[in-house]
Amino acid sequence: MSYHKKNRPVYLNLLKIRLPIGGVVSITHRVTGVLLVLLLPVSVYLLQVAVDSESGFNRLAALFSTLPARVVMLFCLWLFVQHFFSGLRHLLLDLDIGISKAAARGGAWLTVAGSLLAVVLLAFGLLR
Amino acid sequence: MKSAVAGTSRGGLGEWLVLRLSAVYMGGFAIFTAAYFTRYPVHDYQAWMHWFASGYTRLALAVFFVSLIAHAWIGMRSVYMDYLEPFWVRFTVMIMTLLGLLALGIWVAQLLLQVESR
Repeated sequence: MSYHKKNRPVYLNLLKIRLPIGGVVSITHRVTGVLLVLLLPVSVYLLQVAVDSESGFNRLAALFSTLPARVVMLFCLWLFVQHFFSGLRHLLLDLDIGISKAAARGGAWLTVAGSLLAVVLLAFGLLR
Repeated sequence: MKSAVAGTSRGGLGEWLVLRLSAVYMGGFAIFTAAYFTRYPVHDYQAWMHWFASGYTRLALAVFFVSLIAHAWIGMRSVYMDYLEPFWVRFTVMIMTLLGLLALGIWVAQLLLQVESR
């Protein structure tokens, strides 16, 4: 375990490492995935409350009509949409679609643009 | 090095496939459900439960949550294998994640079945 740790170059000044966009999207896929897993108990709890009783359902409806709750919900939706698009990119790369350097970079940018566009569209629906 | 706890000897391809199949199902479910609720907005508890209590919905949700738990486990595990270094830390976090996902599965199962028993 330790033999390869000895003589390898260590240069981990994070401010000096410039990750290409594919790398940024890749790590974002992981971060959003972990956050979505951490949100699971909350999601199932909300589902439980919404199913258990009419008063619970109405309480949630009232909660999600407030601005702060909608901003939080929008952020969670962004997590999902970004993970969805970067996952879709992985699936396409598996099928050898868009694997040239330029196409892979373009695809990575596209996942960011797509998720931000989706959030803007959702915001028009949720925040008005 | 892959340790015994980190995966079975034949784990690789099966996990790769499960991760992707579950992703495709969940993605399809998300798109379909979003489109459905856009077409038929839910305004009150009766309409909500009409959707939720249907056998098809709960079957689709059951498959969804099975996919989700498998997907979450494979994804979290590969993250742990890359970043959690002392073995006992990785092992402990993996066991906790597994127990957490198991508890979540039991919770969801009772949530999907409780409607029937009313």
